[in-house]
Amino acid sequence: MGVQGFKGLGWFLCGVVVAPACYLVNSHGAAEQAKLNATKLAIVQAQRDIRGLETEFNTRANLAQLERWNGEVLALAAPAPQQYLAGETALASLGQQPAEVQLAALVVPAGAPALQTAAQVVVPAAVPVQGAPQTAAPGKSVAQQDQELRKLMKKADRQAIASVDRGVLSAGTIDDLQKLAKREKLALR
Amino acid sequence: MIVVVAPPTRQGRTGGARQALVAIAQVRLMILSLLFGTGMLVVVGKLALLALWAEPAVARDMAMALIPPRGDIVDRNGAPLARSIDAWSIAVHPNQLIGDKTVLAQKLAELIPDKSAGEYYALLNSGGNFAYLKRRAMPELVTAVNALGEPGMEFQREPDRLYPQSAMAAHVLGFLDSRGRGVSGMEKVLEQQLSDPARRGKPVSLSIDARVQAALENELGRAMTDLQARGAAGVILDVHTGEIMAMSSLPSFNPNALPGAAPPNNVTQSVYELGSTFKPLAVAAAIDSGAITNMARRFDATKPLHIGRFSISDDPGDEQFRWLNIPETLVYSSNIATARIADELGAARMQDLFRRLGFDRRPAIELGGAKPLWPNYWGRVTVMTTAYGHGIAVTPLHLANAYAVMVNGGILRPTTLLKVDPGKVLAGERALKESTSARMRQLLRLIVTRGTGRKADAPGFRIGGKTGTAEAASAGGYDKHRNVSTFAAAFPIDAPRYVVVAMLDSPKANANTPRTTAGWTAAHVVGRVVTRTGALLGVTPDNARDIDVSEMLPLIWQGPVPKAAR
Repeated sequence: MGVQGFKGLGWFLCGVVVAPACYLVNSHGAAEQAKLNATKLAIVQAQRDIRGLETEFNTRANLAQLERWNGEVLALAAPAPQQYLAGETALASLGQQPAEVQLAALVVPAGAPALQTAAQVVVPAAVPVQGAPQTAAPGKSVAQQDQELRKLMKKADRQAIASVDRGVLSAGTIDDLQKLAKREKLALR
Repeated sequence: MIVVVAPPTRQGRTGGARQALVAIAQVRLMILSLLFGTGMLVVVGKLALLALWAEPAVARDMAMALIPPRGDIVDRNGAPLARSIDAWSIAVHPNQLIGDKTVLAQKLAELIPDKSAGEYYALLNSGGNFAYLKRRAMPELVTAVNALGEPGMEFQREPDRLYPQSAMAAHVLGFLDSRGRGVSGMEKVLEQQLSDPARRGKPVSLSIDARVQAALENELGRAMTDLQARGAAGVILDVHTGEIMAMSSLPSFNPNALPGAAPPNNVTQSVYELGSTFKPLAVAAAIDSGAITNMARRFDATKPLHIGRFSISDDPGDEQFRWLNIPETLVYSSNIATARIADELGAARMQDLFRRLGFDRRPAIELGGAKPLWPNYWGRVTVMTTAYGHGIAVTPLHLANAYAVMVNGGILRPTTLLKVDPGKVLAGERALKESTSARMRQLLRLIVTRGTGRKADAPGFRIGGKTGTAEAASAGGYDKHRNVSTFAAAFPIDAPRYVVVAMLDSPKANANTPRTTAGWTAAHVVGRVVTRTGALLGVTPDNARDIDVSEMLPLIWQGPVPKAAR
């Protein structure tokens, strides 16, 4: 009897709670679907708008119009054959003036100190920086420039060498190491 | 006292009468419920049908929304040349107008000045049901007409064809009639594909390059205006695939403005006697057939050639009065020497070459074209005159394709306006020997560096080509005062990729252009076009490269060495 009564309640619960809940899930799904569709429609609309605008831009800036603008304002001409480069070699040699080549030659062999080996890495990086003020002061004679350059080079070398001495292992560090070694020796005894 | 208020007992009917009534009511109820039941069934059935078989409306609509009502036409790089758009159209229902028609006609004439107020008045009074006032109207105009407040007006969105580049490549594209069907050009050729719902979503790529086309049209148009020519034509052809990169015929038209009758396409629909541009073809025929093996062989050009009543002479100004070898014949464009070469060649071999180049049939192109004027009788004189481009009339496209054969190694391919995939290039058929082609390249280059085509020499692009100035044919003969100036060229001649043909119909001399011969007119156009478009076409200008003509150079007599140099 009691079971029978609960059976009725079960059906009742099923109708009142479970079915609406299922429906809720279903309708939620449908709502999401509708939203998705709306977004898709918006995308399609946007694509159509893009197409329309593209067409308008194309029409307003058609080649005849560009030609007119070029005639009135831009005045661009077709590039001459000299403006085309044959390959990487041509590209690399582009804009290299003979004067600059001389400059590079002047730096490397001339009167550079013999202890350059340690500073070799530093020198090429420093060259363009030195080159700039040099070209900016055209009033100086070649000899003067040469001297200045040499001075600068020496300075750079000194700095580089000094930094090599100090930077890698300072006197303090070596002292520390020696102390440590002593302590370890004592501990072993 | 208790008062009981109660309704009186109903005096219901009793017995059989009541039972009968109940029975009737039950039957009625039954019928009603049955009716409702069937109604529900119908609804449920319909729902079930929809649920089972109907596809979601949204998805289909969205797929359709992006497919244009007519397919797009784009150039080889994807730049749109023809597109379908939603345009506004303004129409009127004359029988539904309520305002004052005189005033309305006046205002319409102010807003849409296509017609006069009188014409609008006549239209509004016609009493018809429907008439277009303006198709493809701007939104501002629609707003303005709407502001007139006339209920008899109708504004519609209707699909319309727009050519964003307006008059550019108009002859190639063609246009549509009022019902949206292609009437001419590629719109007509591609009608099926463009209107097929399954295929119209994908744009059709033409072989045309819009930038090159614009440059060609611009240069031709400029020359035509400068020289007051009657017409002009130009074509740029890829020699290895037969693709037409640009094709222009002037006067042109604007397909957006729906012309009544479009001018003919001079490149494909008009035939011309193209004059001296045929000389290299005759020489190629002679070399190819073995009639001439030695470039140094000389032909008498000392005096005009008389055959019966007919006389062949050189153009005044270009006469050499001496014996000319093959390079010199072309460099100085000697009619007499060419006629002698053709005479040696003979009618059969001449015709054979012309046939192999397709001069006896319509041009092989989607648009169709005019049939060349092929001589009926091939007498000795005919052979001689055809060798320098008189007595046979072909379209400029024929000539362009013949030059392509001459420089590309001797392979004839049909020309096409549709983009050809690199892997699907037709094999073509051999029309000339490879060696002949190589020889012709050298000769064509010499004409530009040493001869009549100097003005075409675009720096760095190694152009080789031939000028041709023919007297224009007019009713029953030649007009001495008009000529058709043509320049046919190939570049870069050391490894030919493109052929350019430019033609001006009846140019007039002016201050900058003292002569109307092709060397002064058409050659100049080709030079400018190549300078502007060569790089766009993928040819890098290079002053350091050129075809090797060293074996030919000694053959060209330089004239007496000046005394100072001796």
